[in-house]
Amino acid sequence: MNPADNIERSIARLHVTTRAETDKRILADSSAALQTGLKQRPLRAGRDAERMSWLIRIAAPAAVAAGILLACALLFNALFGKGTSPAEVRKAFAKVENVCIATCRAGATEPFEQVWASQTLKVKLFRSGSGNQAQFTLWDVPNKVKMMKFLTSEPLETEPITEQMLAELSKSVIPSAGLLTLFDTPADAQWSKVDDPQAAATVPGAEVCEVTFFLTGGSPSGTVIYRRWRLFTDRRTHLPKRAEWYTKSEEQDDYRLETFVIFSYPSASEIDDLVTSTFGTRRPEPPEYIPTPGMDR
Amino acid sequence: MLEDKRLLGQLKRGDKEALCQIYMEYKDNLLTIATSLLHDPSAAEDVLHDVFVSFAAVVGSLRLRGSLRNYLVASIVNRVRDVYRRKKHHLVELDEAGPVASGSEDPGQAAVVGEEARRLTGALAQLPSDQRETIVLHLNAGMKFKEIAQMQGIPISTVQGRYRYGLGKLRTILKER
Repeated sequence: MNPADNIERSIARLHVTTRAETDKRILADSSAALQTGLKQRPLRAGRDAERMSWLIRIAAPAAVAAGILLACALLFNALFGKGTSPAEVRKAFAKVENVCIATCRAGATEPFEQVWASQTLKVKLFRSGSGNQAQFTLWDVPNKVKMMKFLTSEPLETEPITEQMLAELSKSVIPSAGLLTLFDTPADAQWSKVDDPQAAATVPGAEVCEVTFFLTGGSPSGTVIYRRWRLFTDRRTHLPKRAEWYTKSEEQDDYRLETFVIFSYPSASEIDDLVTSTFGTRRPEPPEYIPTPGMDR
Repeated sequence: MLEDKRLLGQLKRGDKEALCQIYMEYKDNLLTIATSLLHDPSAAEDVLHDVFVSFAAVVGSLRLRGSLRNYLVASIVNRVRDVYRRKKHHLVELDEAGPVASGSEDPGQAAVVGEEARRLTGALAQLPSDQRETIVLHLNAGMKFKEIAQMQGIPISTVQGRYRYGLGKLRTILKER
């Protein structure tokens, strides 16, 4: 039969099957990607919990940084007396208009999560994953829209931001003191200035301090977990530049770096450029519209 | 649709069996679409691979607005466009194209269908990409014109026009052979 006789039926009958080795390869790689992807996202109990936890989720990296920053600030008052005062840290950070916070795992060369927050533009841009698996989420307060781009080539999703979320976001585009409750260090936590040249070399020109404490609660086995937080602040501006989280399970062990956060302070135009290059525009189509990128024909 | 939602729910909890079920359900159709669009079985397999790996990586935060099938099809189409953009795709000659397998169990019939498939994908490759995409999405992916229009962000009349003109050209190409 000549396919031209009934083209539609012929094309509809096309059927290409994968080879067994292809199936094996794709399933193995997909399974690995599934595990990696889920590890980066804490499981949520349900829809209600998901709604309630949105602020915590989107602000997680910032929360880590801001929490330790403010915990430092409070304890500096009582324990330091010299160097950067808590008032200075708080005052400096309160004035921040634009910030980028990159959260990295120890040994990693690139962050697994990044957040750019701009009080000037009233936007927050989140990136999780890396390479082809990067996912971008933009909270655009002026346009009252949340935009998601899972991959550079996959459909862009938009959805409106509810008034409640909008109100919360408007209050705290830049991580604020409200996040302090996420970090509850024991009252006897010991802050001290770090004079280790190696630590100081990590961020040249920064002042380094750390707090150590241990946790015993919450574990049925009564296991003790030792923690150490280390903070690097700019001597001149008093802004945080880096924070590090260490842990160990035995007292005699050395602390092991788990994660660290790098602060940078881009300009509003740099953040705007990033948003534009990622999403194309900050003036989205109506929320229900799911455009397909690359329609340049 | 409900089955997809159930499987997605399991997948978000890390169930690899659900991943396998979704893959087995859609793989052949997605590969057929990719092959029809690319006329290159090897590149089509790579596209299928990338789409599933990416899908698995982001499924934890995926919030579908339509069907899973349409999401995966859209991902395939976007990846294919990337391939064209990246490599400025040089269409392989028909003789160089790899074998296109058939779902038929009869080896003799498989050869016939395989040859027919090669002729069809070869003819599709000669169409403008927008017409080829419209035809493949409608006939291979089973998408309605309205769904294609929504996915591509164009009026439905444009989709219908591309489909009609594309079929006309295909008919001419195939009759000339």
